[in-house]
Amino acid sequence: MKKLNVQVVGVGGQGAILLGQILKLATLEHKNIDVVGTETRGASQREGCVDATIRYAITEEGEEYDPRRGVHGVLIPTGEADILIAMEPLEAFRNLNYVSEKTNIILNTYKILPGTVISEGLEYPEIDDMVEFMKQLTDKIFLINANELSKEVFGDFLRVNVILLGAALATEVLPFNYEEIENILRHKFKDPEKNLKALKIGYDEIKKQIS
Amino acid sequence: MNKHQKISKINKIIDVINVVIPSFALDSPGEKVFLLGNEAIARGALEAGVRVVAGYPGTPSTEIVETISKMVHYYPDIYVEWSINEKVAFETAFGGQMCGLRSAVSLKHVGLNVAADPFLTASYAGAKGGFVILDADDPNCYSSQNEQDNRLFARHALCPVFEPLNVNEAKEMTKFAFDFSEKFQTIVLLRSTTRLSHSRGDVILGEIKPIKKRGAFDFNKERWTFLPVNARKYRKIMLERFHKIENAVNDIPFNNLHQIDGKEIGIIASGLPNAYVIDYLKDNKLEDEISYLKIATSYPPPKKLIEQMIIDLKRVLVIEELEPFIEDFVKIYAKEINPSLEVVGKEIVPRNGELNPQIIHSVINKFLNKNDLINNNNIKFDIMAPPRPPVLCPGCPHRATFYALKKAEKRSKSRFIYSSDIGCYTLGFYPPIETIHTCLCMGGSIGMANGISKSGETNPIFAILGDSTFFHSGIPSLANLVYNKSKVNVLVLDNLSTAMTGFQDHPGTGVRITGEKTTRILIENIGKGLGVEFIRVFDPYDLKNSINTLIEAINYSNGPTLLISRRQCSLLATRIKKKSGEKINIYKIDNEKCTGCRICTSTFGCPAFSINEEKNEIEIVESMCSGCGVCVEICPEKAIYKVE
Repeated sequence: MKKLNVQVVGVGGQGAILLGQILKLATLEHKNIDVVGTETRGASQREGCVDATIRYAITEEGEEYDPRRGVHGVLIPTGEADILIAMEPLEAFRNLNYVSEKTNIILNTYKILPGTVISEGLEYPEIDDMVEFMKQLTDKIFLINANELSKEVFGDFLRVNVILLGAALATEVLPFNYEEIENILRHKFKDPEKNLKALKIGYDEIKKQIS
Repeated sequence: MNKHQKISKINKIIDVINVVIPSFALDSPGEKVFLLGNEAIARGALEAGVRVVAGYPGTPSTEIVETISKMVHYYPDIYVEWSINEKVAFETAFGGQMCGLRSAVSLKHVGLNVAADPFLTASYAGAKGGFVILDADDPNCYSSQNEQDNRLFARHALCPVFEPLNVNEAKEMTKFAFDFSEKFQTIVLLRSTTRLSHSRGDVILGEIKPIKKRGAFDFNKERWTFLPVNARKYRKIMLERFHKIENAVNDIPFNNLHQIDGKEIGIIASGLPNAYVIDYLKDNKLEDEISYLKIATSYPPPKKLIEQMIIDLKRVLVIEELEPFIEDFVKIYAKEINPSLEVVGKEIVPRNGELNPQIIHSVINKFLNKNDLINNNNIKFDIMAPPRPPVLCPGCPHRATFYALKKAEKRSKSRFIYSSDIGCYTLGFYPPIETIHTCLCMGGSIGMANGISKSGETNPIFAILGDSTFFHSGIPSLANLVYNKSKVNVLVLDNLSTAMTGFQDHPGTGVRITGEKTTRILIENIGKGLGVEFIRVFDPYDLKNSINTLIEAINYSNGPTLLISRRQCSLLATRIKKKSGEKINIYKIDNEKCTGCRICTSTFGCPAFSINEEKNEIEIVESMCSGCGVCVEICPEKAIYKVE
């Protein structure tokens, strides 16, 4: 049995919880994958830190399915994230306790300044410094400015989460393939064409970096 | 399976998701669905044939009642309501079970305090029709004023507590709780926590019991009338009933003892932390090395199982969130049957906050005297991440009211006292707003302000609370102000919604939980009825008028004033505008006029303002701005303008 952990972190309003839900829904069809997860909820989370946790327990080929399931706890233990999808650089930095050398970090480089920076004058760390630091933990860091890409193509920031989902798929760590996510976007959400386009943008961007 | 087959199979499943019936309402036993913890609890109640459900919204419990309200469409015999507070909700559900119907009240941990009065007496009578309290505690105070452990509360009422460990068990145990309640004629408290309520996981759907259409009041009036003579009688009945329950919990399948003969150490865990313990034992291949008792009925604890486990042990570790509840029982039981047993608990398991895999890991390692080798990065970074507390939304009418308060305060040359309450507006505590000086409990703002006003304090005193909070428990304390001639300015921030928990309706909106129209109760009419003489309703977006109204109120000396700052929650208003295709106004900053004084960010602090770091200029982020236009008035240079 293989465990796979995905941590999504971001800022309230960015669509982190929805992104987490797609990642959870994607396995409903796979009888060999159990999934648990948790998320930050509550209307007052706007502009605050938000996260979604997804944990897969995968029964591999030739292995007997364990009805007791392989993963019970909904939280990811220290250093055990296989993918950290960081929708905002500072939030990536804040959640490095999930990261170890096995972790793939998808880092959206678009900054959202917290109120404490704008109103109280606290300092927002340099992205380069944060990335340098992350590199000491893992060499699998992929940078993408999903907001800029979303703005460029769609004129708004609404599809940042789907772009990042495409980026995460490009790492090929997730236990389902690109077509399966396409199907979910096509049938479960509004504006499928835009979402499919966004997915591809994210996917291609990271594939470019990998090759 | 080839790729094509796979995709067609997915399509089939997606079709199921896509049909109008939400998965928690499906009548298809055996089907695996994916639910939120709170949805699973609601589903368990549905499968148990619940008929009367009442609650008051409060994170993390809100989605339980919301989910049931969505079921009503498919199961119209269910009655569901948002009551005005938890006490009324409790009494409503209690009334339902008096008629032989399966009933439930849903509340957050502190909500049970509000319902404590009926709870501690109703437990004498127990339940006729099956009565379950669907409670959600909040270890770590994620969205609460404290992290009280309601197991202690239930013990006070001799009320059994069931604590599931995951989403599927939450569904199963809820269903079971109704059967148990009816069988033993007891109230049952199903205790969830934030983590469980907001988890998602697989649930296997079960059969839905037929919902009783009509109840009939049970005229056994002795049972429901707590005159001393009846109370004494039912106190005895309750004790006898509880004795039977103490025996019965040993056989409940959700409790599970995995005893390893010949080993000297064991672990007992209660509720959700069991999930982390199971993972730990599995990951470290200790399942057959350590005796392990999973407790799901934390009160009364399964005494026989605990005794059976600890009788031959040398050491036992008790893992539970918050109070040493099970631990104390284990110590008492050990005294009788194994006095030399070393019971390890809160000396190494934190008594505050939430438990998590890291903590469980290091606690068990400590217990086993193992080195704590967590896969952790020890690299330290010398830059601090600036905190990101949640803030009032762009266009929030509360921010405008708070700004007006600060302006009025400045103009009055006094220091305002802001006695406040529980709601989004409590976020006004943080800079740059800082117009919150107290927040204790629902409706507490007015009572505290009353006390302050009688203490020789000469500064103007405001009691600030929201519309839903006013209906919850502000009305009696407003009457108290009038009665005792207290000079307090009651400021109701009326955003026409219970916004903080996700826009629930309340008596001030004139709409019921099901969307049905009802009588709209106006807060100003309540004030009038209670004899408040100074009542003003104003629009917070009109800053000038707001400031003048506030000044007028503090100068009024004949008793309390009632000020209602009325403007729909901006998130809700923006959502409605977008849906109807209405244009949202766009505002920009004229950088020729802007002098960079930063009054907009350092005193008003709307999150739609950001700093353009390249140009070192303030800008309005269009995707964030709600178009309220209040900032136009606050800019001293008149640099903010509407784009026509």
